[in-house]
Amino acid sequence: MPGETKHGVECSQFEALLSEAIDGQLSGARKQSFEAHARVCAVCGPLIADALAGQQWLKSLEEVEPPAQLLHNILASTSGISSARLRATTPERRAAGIGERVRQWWDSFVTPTAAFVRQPRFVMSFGMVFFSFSLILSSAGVKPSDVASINLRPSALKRTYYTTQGKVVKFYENIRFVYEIESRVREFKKSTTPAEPGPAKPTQNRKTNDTSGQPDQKQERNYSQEANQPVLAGLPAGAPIAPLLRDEVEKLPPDVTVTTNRRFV
Amino acid sequence: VHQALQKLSPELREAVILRDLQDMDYRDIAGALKVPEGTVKSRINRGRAELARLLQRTYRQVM
Repeated sequence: MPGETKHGVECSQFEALLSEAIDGQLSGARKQSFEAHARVCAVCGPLIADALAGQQWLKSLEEVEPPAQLLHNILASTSGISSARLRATTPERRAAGIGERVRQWWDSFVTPTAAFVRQPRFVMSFGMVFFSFSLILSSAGVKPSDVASINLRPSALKRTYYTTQGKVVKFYENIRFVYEIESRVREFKKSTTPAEPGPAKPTQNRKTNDTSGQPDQKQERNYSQEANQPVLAGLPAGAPIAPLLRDEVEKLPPDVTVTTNRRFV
Repeated sequence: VHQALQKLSPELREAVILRDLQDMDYRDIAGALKVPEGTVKSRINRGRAELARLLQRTYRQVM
């Protein structure tokens, strides 16, 4: 009975040990329990004799040489290559001519490769490859008519190169991001320039209209005043005075107010 | 023997042929047939026994 334990060995274990027993690899306690089970079990006992008999029948078979075209016939029936082409690659039919060698190489390499590639399971792969290429080319703006009209003369290639380079540079310079960064840098420069101490140059040597590069100076001229409007001029306290005028100044009261109709230029 | 082998089921026949005619070991047979090693041993034993029974039956009929 399957699953029945007799002498410590179940029938399923007996079947697993049977191969080792036939091969002579079983020894010790396992061999004793195996033989004990074979003597007692009505199912497993005859199994040893049958298996041994079957092995002896198979061992009695003589080994035969396979037919020379067996491999080619198998390949022809499984890969679809015609047996005539396969037969041409057999060693006894090889010729020494170069044309024959090329044909043999073609038959031995290209034809099997083509037959392998032509299998229906690759159809979808090739379709996907073609679709991917066409999608990439169409997204890149390449058309088959453009490819056909390409001029391969050196001057044309040079002109194409410089035209493309000009387009790329123009595109780069027109990028909004670059423009914004440049404008920010310009603003930053403009805002930091007044903080820097400028050179102490005499202002009378400069043109009055040229104010470029300088901060906005305080306009002291009153453009709204009329030509006959009196202008008050005062001497600030502690201002340096020429030594010859010092005595005249000391005679005057501390605050002198001068009224004039002349217009300061 | 060839006719008896043809009557075996394909699973038993390929296991028996690989073991007793090609002299492969159990691990290689298990790898080639993609089945566990215990299954290979079981198939070999059953294939051998079935082959012996078929041949004995044929022998009795002839006699």
